[in-house]
Amino acid sequence: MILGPLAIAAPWGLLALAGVPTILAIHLFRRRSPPRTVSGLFLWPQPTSSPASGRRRERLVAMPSLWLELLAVLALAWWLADVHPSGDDRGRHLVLVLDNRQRLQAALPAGDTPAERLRSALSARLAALRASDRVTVIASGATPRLLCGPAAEPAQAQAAIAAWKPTAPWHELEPALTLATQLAARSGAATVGAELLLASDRIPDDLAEDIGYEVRGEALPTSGLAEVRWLRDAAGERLVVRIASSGKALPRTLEVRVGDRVLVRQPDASGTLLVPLNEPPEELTVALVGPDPLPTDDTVSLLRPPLRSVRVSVSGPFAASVQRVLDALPDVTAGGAIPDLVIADRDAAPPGSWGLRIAPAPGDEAVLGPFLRRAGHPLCTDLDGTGLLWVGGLPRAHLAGDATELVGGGDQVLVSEQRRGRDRVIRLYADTARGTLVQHPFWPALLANVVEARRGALPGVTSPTVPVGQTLTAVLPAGVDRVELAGPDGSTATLVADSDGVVLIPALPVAGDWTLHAATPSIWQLRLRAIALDPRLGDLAAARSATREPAAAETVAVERRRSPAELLLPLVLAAGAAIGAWLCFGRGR
Amino acid sequence: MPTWDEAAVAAAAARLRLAVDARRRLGQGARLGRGPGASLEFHDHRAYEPGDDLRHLDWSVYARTDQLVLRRHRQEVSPRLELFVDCSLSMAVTPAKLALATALAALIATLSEADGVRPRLWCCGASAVRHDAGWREVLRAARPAGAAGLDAECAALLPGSERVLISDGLSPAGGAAVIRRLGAGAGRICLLQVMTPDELAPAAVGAARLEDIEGGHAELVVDGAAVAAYSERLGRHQDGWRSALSGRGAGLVTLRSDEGLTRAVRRLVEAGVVEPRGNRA
Repeated sequence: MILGPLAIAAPWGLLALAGVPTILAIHLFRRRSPPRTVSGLFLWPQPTSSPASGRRRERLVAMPSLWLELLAVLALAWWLADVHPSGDDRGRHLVLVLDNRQRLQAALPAGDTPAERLRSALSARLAALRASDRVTVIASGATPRLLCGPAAEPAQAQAAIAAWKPTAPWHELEPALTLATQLAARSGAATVGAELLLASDRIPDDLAEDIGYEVRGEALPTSGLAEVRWLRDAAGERLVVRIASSGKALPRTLEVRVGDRVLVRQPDASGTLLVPLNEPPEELTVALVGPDPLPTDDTVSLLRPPLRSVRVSVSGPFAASVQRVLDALPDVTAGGAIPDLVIADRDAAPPGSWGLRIAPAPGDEAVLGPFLRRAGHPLCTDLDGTGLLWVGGLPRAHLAGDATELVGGGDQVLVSEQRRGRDRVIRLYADTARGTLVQHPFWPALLANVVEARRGALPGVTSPTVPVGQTLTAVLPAGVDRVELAGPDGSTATLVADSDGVVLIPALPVAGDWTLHAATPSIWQLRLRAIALDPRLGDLAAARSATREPAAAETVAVERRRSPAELLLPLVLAAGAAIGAWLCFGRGR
Repeated sequence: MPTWDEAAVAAAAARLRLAVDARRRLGQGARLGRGPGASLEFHDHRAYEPGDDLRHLDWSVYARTDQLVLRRHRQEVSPRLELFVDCSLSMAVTPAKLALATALAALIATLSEADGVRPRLWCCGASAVRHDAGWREVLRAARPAGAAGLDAECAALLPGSERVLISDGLSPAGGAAVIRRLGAGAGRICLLQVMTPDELAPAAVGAARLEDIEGGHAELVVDGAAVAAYSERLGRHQDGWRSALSGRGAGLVTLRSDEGLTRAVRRLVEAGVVEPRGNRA
């Protein structure tokens, strides 16, 4: 409610002014008897009742208690109604989107960073706002977050920007700009209630015309690690390092270190490098040494991929043919107390193991093809039965109800799969002594698929080092069906495995060490390392400095927030006046 | 306190003396104590107990009744006078009340000196202050203060002394409580109660804010019923004083402040506090 130069935020609070006539009436009709001095008050009877005539209106006596009581009521009405200068209820709404990517921490030749320049520019911009203006500050990210607001006071935004430090890995700005647009209450292309301003080190290519920008950056030559992978296969262990450069970057030296010990040093490193690891440690650091304005992508630490050997037990008349294939596969070992895979001519796999039974079904019908395989199934990858003569297939009518046909020919099932919890039994209906199976490429391809599928079902992960923003899967040990994922930022999440014991780990948002932890039925822990590398992160070629004002928006009604002084002053005044009135009244009595 | 009419006091003192027995006026043992002692004045009888002095047996009673009865005599004490003047604020409710109380104190002190007994003066205001000499200066310098009055604690009272209280007697604790403290070990004790006419018979004035000069107030309709209630309570209060002072001398002597010293002296004579000089043997 506007009353000339004043506005009333809560008109109902003016009801407190009803206290003014009430107080006046109390003072007007207050009984004031003539004083009479006595020396034996205790001899007089106690006053028990009022005179029958009731109270009469007396002359209003301007006592201090009267003025203090009126002051208390007025101050209380002021506080309840929130009377304030008009104009404080309307203001501009500025929505700031801060580019939160790490590259805004690049060291500029002047010794500062784009983030520091932006802080200064934005601070000056916020200082020019009126107290009634409102500011919303959004930090970009894969999931943008509000640093301040929505529609906070400029002082709060100042504090948020002063504390802002861009640390996010590479991400697009679109989610943050979309959120800003929604918060700005835009309707179509017309800005209705807010002004949008992007703070970055460059001007995005497709930025809308009505969005202003405050960019502070300099195009500088840089180089950094774009990708680092730790490979572990039949050829041994090695690092694949890809170095991205923009502009005429100075030559850099690649170092592979374990703690302070340098394993590999390669000057003038550029492009993609293959670094063999003859004595691989459990953890190492890859670093680019040399002058560079953006050090955040110059160092990365990796965990060694675990050895995932498959223990295979082989028995039966085909053992030599199977062993010949297994010898050609990496990380396959023989048997053990509880083998991971049991290949036999009967169902001999104990619980916890997979079984591959190779035995012919009754009957002598041979199959020449065509062979049909279940598309997309990992056990059927790269199987080609061209020219294969298969003997010993199972008539399809005899296939068990809970078994799945993987490969068939004619009316016979040649390969089937049966699941028992996390265990699987794969049955190969074939007479290896007849037909051409063991001499055909179908034979090693199928065995390799079975071994690799079993390897993939072993507990753990293929690689404990994962890029930020990328999902991965982990297999839990037998009996564990849920784990807790703990991040370096203290965040935790509980993940539930599927029937195969596989948990899908969502994209890790923050670089650093993450932990998968299970406490029941036994303690199991797995360390993961998220690394933030992206070739786009270190590209400063497009950085520049410029300013464009956002499309002006009309002032809008904003929620008024009283300052501490506005909140406390009337209350203190009312309380003081009330106490003063009480003291004056008591003294008068 | 203000000065009193010294000429009037001197004139009254010239005609009066304290009412005491002439045989005991001078020297040690000139006053009778409250308890039994070795004086010639009979006090009471009590039954004989083994070990009692046979010289005190009342043989005439034994002859008539065959009972051994001791005859006891009153104790003789030294003549001492302690004067307790109420200096609380209630004594200054009107100038006349204060003036009469001061004049009475001066008169009693003067008469005491005339009998050769130096009075001990207690000024009882906010607290009780004892003065063994210079009562005139003390009375002139005293200023009404506080609310304690006769309720103030008085330490080291003289055993066997005669005590005169000058006050309005309006102690909420009542006369019994005051006499229990101030009358302990005293010879005779009396209260000269100085009151204003309005205290003795207040007028029905309607609604009024009664403000006690010693603190406190009450909004009250002072009508006939309230005045009657006040009078009834005042009467009971005075009865309390009389009961406490009974048998210990002149008792309660109520004096109106507007009647002046002459009329007050007459009341003192009537009550036996003082006596004309010509009456002494």
